[in-house]
Amino acid sequence: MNTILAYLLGPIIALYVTTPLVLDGVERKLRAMLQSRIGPPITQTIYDVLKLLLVKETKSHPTLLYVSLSLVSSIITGLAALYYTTLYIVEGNSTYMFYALALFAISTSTHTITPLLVPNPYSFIGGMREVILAVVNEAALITSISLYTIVTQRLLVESTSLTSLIAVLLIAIVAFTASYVASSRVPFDIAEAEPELASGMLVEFSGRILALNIYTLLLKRLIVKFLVLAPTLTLIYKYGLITLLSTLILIPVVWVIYATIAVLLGRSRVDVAPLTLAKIYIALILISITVLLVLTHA
Amino acid sequence: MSLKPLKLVIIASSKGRVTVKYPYQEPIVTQEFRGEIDIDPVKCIGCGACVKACPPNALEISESEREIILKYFVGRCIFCWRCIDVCPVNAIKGTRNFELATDKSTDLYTVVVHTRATCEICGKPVETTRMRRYVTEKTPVTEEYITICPECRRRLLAEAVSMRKVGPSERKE
Amino acid sequence: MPNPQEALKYIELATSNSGVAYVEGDTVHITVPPERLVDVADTVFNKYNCSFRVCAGVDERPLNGHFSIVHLFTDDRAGYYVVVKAYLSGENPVAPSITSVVPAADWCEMEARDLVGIEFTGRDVYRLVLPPWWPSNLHPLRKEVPYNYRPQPRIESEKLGYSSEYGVIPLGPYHPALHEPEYFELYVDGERVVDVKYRGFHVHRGIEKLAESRMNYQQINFLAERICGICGFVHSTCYALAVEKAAKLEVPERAQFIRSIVLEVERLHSHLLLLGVAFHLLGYDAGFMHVWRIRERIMQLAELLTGSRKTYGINLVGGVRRDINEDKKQKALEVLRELNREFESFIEVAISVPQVKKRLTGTGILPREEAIRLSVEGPVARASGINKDARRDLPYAAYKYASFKVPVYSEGDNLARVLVRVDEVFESISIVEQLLDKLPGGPILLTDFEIPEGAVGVQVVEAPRGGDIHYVVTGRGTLYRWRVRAPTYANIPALRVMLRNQPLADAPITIASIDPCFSCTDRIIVIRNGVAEVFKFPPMVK
Repeated sequence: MNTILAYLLGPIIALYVTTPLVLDGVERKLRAMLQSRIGPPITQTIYDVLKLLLVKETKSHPTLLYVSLSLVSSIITGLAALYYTTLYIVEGNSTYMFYALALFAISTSTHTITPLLVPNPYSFIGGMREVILAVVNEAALITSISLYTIVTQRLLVESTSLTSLIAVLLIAIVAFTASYVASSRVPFDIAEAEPELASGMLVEFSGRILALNIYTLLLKRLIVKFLVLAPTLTLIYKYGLITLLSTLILIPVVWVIYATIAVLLGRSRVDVAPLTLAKIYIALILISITVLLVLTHA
Repeated sequence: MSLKPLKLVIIASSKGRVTVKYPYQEPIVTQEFRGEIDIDPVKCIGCGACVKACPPNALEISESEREIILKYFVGRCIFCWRCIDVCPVNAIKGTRNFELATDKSTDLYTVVVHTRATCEICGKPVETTRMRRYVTEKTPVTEEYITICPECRRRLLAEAVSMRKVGPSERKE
Repeated sequence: MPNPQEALKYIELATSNSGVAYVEGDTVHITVPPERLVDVADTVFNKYNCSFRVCAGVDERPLNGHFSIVHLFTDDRAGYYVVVKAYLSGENPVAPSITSVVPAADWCEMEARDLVGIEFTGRDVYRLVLPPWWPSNLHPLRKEVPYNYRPQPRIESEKLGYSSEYGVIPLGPYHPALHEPEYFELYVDGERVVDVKYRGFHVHRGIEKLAESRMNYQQINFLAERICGICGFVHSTCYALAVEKAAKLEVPERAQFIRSIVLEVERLHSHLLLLGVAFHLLGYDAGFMHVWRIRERIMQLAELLTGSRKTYGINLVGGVRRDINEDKKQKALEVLRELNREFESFIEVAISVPQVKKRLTGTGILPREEAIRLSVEGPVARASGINKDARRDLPYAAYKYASFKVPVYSEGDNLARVLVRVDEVFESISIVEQLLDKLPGGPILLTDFEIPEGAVGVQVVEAPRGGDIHYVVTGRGTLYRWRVRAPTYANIPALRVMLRNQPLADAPITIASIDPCFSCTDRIIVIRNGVAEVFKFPPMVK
């Protein structure tokens, strides 16, 4: 490993752990500004999570042990995914990226099954909605990021042509859309925010478990942005510490853009969203694969 | 896919933040606002008109041997100001005060105590002394009989009428 | 005044059914023997196409030894109130049910059965208003039951039914999506709602009994205002107009104008409230915040005109208590102009959000025939193609001096209900501007009058949610009987039709689109002791 990176690894991981909380505070402030209100201070999410960690649950279930296990494993695998992506950006070995994607898949799956472990109809329906959306979206996200990584690596080695850039663009569109959908924001926060579900998958959680759940959600938001920004920035800056630095700087920018889109839209419905998304993803991925195959044979 | 939803950003930025930082800023209260009432214990005559008019019984009158007590409980008040409408001496004033939360329940009660006058014949307690004065000021002729309670008045009248009624057999020629 | 020729057919109907009829102002009173009730109701509802509003059971035993059942219809085309009354036996009151010919009478008959004890033949009976543990021979609205009597409650589960094949989703009584306690039990097959069971009346406060027992005429205005937090002024105006109609009082014109202006201001705030809530339920929180920011100006205008942001407290029997001077009029006009501009530009943005449009279109459909059968009210009716508006059909207060359009859409889905309300906002702004312009001079309160005993008054006022009806029978110094039916009472049975076979995700927005006001719906009978002695249980009076 690059020796400078070895020294900086500690602070970088600490940054990954704290960034989701700070950026969520920024998001809430931004949402308030767009709604003509004052809103909570930027440090509010940090206060919330810390306070919840100190509060015991109001009602304890026998399944809470499994819930906390799955959430903790989701957090650990998520942080590991971030670590491997960092390695990929600095050293350029795409195997790391695939490790990161595999870890990310484990992280999301453990997070998604959490509400299904709770014996409550609201939680179950919320969980199933999340599963329906994840079936479509996670597949697209992982496929598109894998393709993205491969294609950007090839582009850096060979010369760029217009057709290859078009292919990259299509894949990038799929990757960014899938990353937005995976970040559980309006219009796709159907699992936890629908009113008839009385907060859906979060309904039985309180105190420490709720803190873990909120943190997992926010960490997932960070990971999906990081995963799509990594290949994009390697296209511009190649591999190295500079790329890592620019990725870290761009994360808040992308976060703010996603947050603005979320404020301007309404919530989609569980039967409408996955179908529409599936159609778009399949179309775009197929077109870009076709273009790439044409390129390799040409 | 129209870009109209983006117009929200323009609307929000032109309106700015509309939140009023109450209590660190003055709340927006118009001049017409109806807040709690203020009973002037000097002017009040203890007639009970406000009690009759009050819809939620926030104003109550209780009587004892020597006193008539008017009690106003802010907790039940609906700030309709009907009491102000009907008070004959304008003893009640309306304020714009609505910040009434307190940790002492005694702050919520206003009590006006009136002494009761008595009937000079039977000695029973009747209306308040101030009410007697108010009625005599408004209608001076009542001065002659206001110190006598209605029951005694009725009795005296019946006796007077019975004394005047003289039958033909008893008429002195 | 409606055309007297139109009343002739009702008089004929009464006499041909061995009854009597008389016309007083804009009300036709028909009294028939109980056996003829179903035929008369059938003719009035189905042949003459009147709207059914409500029925009331009255305990008239102190007056004439009988109970009576009163059915209230309105002939919207001719502008008449049609009161169909039948006297029932004083010991064992039994009346034939009219639900076979008037399906909309379902709830109010059960309410009369619970509260007054009138039995109904020819239909399924069930307990509607009283909780399941209430003693079965205690009918609170009967004159011998004291208003502060409380039987011992029993705590039990709210569950209404059971299903082994469908999932059961409880929506209420405590639920973050609902603003008031009500209980909807949704039976779902996956994501599709298969059936709905409803139980309400959790906030029944005993307003009618309270008014009959210990309040005088002027105090009841304030009680009526508190029936609902959003449309309170409608109730207080409707009550005042009904009593004034019964006592034949000549209310000054300026007071009527002020009442109409404040009614329209209330309509504005109510529609903006609903639009905000609808956007929130659809996930478009920015829409919610901005609409309520716009609505805040209306609340301040209401405070300027009446003295309070809500529960205005300016209505009295005989007129109003606050005047609108030139300064207030100019401020009001300015606020309305700004509101018009802001609302127009904002609603354009909000309705164009793709998720909002997609989720409102084609969901929660109420077909026109069902809407007529159930006699739904207000925007729910107007969105299903029924052209019904009490401000135009049965003109009251100063509405005859304003010209306005009544928006009618025919799709019957959630979007139509939202668009009806958006159009009504613009119409209301125009009405207030017209009325402020034409405001006549003169006094605002009638002070010297007497209210005779035994007079009957019926009045419908178009609330933001539909037609609100008050039926009063005057007594000595206070009311003898007061029956209030708020519009949501008529709209909730329509929810069963709207929610069937719809996806579960659309349930909250469908329920919200009828703009339910549950505190208006549950209002009658008594349980609360108004005085501070909580632990006294007086013996049951026979």
